[in-house]
Amino acid sequence: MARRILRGLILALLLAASPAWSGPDARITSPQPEWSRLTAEQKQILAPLADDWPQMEHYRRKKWLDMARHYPRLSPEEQARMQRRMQTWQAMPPEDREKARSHYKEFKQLPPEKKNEVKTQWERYNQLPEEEKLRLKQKSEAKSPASERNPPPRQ
Amino acid sequence: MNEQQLIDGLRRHLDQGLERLSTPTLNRLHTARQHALAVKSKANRRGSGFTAGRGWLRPALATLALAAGIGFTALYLQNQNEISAMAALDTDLLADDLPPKAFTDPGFRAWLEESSEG
Repeated sequence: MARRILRGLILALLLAASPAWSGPDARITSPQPEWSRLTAEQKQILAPLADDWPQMEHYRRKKWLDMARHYPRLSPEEQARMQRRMQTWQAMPPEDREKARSHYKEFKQLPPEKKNEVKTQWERYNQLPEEEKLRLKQKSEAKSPASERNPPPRQ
Repeated sequence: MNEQQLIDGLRRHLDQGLERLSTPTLNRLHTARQHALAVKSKANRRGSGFTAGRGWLRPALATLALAAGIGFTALYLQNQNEISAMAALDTDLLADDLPPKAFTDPGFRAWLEESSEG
């Protein structure tokens, strides 16, 4: 009995500590279904992730399944954009995803006219010559703390 | 013959059998009984297994397990909420006009700062 309690405790502690093993956005969750167990609708929405699904962590599967529930509320154009970006997003280093989320949260707080301005600036930025983009990148990296430039390797 | 009669008959039969046992056999049975009782009472005093001799350990472990269980459940529920919030945010982010790269590109950040300064 006591041995069983002790084993349970050790297991609980190991599970609680597990997010530290797989990046800053890792979370604990229950086991999520294999690709073959998804509904036809989920498979259609998450089709770009079919190849990645078997290796995907359970918390990430759960997040994508939650995203599939949000999918129907998007316009057809937004749905197409989301599907087009799924793979790149999934393949991004977790630190970059966290950074994007944090900057996107700031962006969402902006009033509509500011948002439009950022969008116009993005278009202008994309037309800059590569050397200019490199100069801006170096300028930004010189200002940011070392920890942000060289995030600890993913464990 | 009803049930009670059957029980009485069996008891009588066994008692008669007991009367016919020899004294040495009775002595051996008595010694074996005493020995079994002594072993049993010693085991009761000592406790058993992992918690033997540590009466405080079992309740302490149970409390610790309960606390860990509550802690783990709270952490689990918090994580489910965070996953849901992350899913809502990621949906908006991936569906937005601006691509995710716009939010990770350090050059664009500097460009925005320069344009707001200029």
